[in-house]
Amino acid sequence: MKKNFLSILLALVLSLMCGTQAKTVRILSTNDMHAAIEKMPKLAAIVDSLRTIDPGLLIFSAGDNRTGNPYNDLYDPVSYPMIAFMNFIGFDASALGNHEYDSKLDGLAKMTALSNFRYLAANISCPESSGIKVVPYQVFDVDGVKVGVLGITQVGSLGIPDTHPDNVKGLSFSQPKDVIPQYKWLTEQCDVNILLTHIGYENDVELAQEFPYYDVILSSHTHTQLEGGELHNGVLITQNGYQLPRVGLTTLEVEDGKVVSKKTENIFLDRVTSHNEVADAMLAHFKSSPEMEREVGRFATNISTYDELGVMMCDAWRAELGCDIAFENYGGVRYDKFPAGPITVKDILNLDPFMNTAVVMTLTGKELSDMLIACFNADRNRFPITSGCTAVVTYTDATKKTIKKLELFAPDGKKLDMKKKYRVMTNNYVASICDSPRQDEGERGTDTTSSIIISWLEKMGTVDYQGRSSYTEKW
Amino acid sequence: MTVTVNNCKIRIFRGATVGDVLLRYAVRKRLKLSVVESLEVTDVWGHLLDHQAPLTDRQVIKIINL
Repeated sequence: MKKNFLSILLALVLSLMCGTQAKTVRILSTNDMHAAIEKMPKLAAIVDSLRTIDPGLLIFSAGDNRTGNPYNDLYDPVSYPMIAFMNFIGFDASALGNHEYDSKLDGLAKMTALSNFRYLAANISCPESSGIKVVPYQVFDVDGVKVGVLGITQVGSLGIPDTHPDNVKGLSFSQPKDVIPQYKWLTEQCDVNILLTHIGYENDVELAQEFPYYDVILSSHTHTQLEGGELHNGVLITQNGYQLPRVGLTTLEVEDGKVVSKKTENIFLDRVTSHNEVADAMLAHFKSSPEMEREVGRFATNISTYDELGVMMCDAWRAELGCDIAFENYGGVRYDKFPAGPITVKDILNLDPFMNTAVVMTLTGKELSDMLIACFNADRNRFPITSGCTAVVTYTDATKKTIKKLELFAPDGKKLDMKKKYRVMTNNYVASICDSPRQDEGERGTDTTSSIIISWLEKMGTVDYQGRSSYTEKW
Repeated sequence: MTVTVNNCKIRIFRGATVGDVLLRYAVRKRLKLSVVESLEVTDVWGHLLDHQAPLTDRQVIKIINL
């Protein structure tokens, strides 16, 4: 174990040996773990060491525990690996991040039922029938010190968390600033007051200005890397990036029911060399998940070109997202050969491994045409693959580096209407690299493009794409 | 939504991350897309943001190693 973590441990030992009247509350906090299951053996080892010194250590997650790793997000029940690790490590509570809603109410209900800790959110209203177990706050007793923790979930500009509206249908949300004053009584009853939020650094700074009677805000959502903690209006704020580059260790000294000092230090996970062996075994178990070998569909015939697989991928997205047209960059297809027979979850994750998500836009035929040319230019002069329309690409010469003319055809063989509006899907990578003019930039969804293909194949059963292509080239 | 990267206003889809906006910025500035992975970005206060960080409308970010 490296210097940083050792020095923190040494400081803890010395503070315990001093034996002053003040009582110490220590909180280990994580945020935006995004299913970083590979980091859990190290996190467990850190907690083991800290708990040896301070059995009263509290551990909180500020939300977005899931979404970011197929081994977790495609597990059945969804996100169980992260929950199992958090249970094992002994998390005391978690905020609800916007990604906690990614598997709709059913998924969230299962997650909360499987967790040995509580989810805290004061600004959510869940019907009893949803089965979602969430409470506004929790009070912990640490050696006679009352620690009150109020949870706040993210609410975006649409009045719901940043997830697909269907994912939160049936839930209602309030703005954090409207709800927090309703719990002032709780702060008067507790010695230490914590806001466990998933609303982003900037909004947390505003909360600190408005509600200075909180001691600490354990922040999340914006993946902001703070150096330890920052004091804003006397409130200590801490947040640590994305997928556990560091965790925060907040130490509060409490005398006569008041916090007399507070600080947050960072523990860098890449500097920790020890692993918890049980967590190692859990990781090996989850990484050998039978889910990855599960058959989701079958190819009726052999696949022998990138185009064949690309057209299948675009067909899947178009159908699942109810679009007129779907397209992707040629470089987004990672296989050009696949034998007839079963297709597994792992095959699809290898075919589309980028964790991209869908962007759905409303485009005129002209805007689509411009976007396809922009994609060609940005993707090393390779024409994109489409579904819902076909293309005849005429290049200036045999080098195929410049498109002279592009003609698009609807499935009925007629030319695509350049003025008509179409619902078009592509992935976030393509939507980003296409810097062509369009009225609607669209919206990025939360489901990965690979998970959309899996859902489609499960419905289709056997598919046949031999010989399929979406464009012809001329010069 | 619109995000400002090094004083360059970029209009991009809602729900874009830092990585998405950097790709658009790279295309706009004719940088190689392979450069994007190595770019380090901060918010207006100078805090590092990772490429998966979600962005909001009118957010301002800065590339610090270009």
